[in-house]
Amino acid sequence: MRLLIADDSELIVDRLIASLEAIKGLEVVDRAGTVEEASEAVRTLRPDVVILDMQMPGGTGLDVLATMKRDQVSCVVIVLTNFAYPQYRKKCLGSGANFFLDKSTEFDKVGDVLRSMLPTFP
Amino acid sequence: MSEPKDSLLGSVKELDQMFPTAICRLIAAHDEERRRIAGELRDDTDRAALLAASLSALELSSELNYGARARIQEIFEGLKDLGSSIQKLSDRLCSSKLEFLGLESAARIFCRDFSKQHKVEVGFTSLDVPSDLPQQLSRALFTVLEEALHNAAKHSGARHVEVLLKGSSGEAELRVRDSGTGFDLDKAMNGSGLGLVGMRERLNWAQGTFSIVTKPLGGTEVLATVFPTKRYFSARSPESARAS
Repeated sequence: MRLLIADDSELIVDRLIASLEAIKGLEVVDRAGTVEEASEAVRTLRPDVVILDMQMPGGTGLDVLATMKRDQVSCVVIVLTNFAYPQYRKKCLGSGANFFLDKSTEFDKVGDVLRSMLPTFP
Repeated sequence: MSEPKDSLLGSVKELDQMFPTAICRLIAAHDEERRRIAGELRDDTDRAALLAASLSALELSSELNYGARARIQEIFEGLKDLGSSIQKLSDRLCSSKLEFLGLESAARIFCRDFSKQHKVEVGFTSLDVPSDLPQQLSRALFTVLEEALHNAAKHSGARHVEVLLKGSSGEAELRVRDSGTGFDLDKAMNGSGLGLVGMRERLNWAQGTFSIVTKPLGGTEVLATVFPTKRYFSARSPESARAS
């Protein structure tokens, strides 16, 4: 299962990579720190899963979701954000995200979600 | 203490009269600085989130007694609160709601929250607000809304304010009306505050229109209008603002 991490915080990305490296069958294919980088990486690398931050330089995670829709890129999107407001959850899930997790309270759920998806990927 | 501030405000107003576009550039620089600080605060929120996640993991993985678990839970809740406070401060500097949800939802949420915080009834009505309003125009109207509501709560004495956000062919308008004490507009525009001048200049920058109708004891209505169909606005930078 190929994973892209899109977050402008190196701290968060490093921590994610460290916490996910024990998951067998999971490969981090790239990291993106801006909306433009994330959109480009999704289009060219076609990852199976994207962990997506909401607020990044150049726009928002919603812009990345819109680009994915426009380019007909299909992958599982896990939004991981500090902006865990109900309105944002609704908007993200309505815009194509599959999961919406709060960084401060659900950070460790990312691993659980990825593990649960592994059997569905060859 | 007030002398330096007054003289600074005086200088800004003189600057406004001599070089109207200089104010536009100041507004752009001010916005950029707010965005930058908001971004730094978000980094701090990330740090708080990671610390909270570490604590949570520690609580789950260690064989701790009840007292230690309770203490960890307490610190976890404190960190969450701290993160949330920093998040709110970041949002006050540069509203994420505007970017994520668009003007209509952001304005509705702001009015609701403002009403709770300031104990002022705020009636919000929206009609055909364009969902694809450029960020610069949305931000101009949103900033006027923030300023107008704060002014109404602070100065008018009104307990009820009506907000109307309306889109029609080629324009979007914001009206904020209160039935409070009103004020002398000329005096206020030439006074020491920058709020009214700031609102006017924001609309100038957005190539919109701005007006205030008020009189002592007669309430106040603030009207701001932007024109999304003006093609030349979309790529407008401080450089082009200076040239216009």
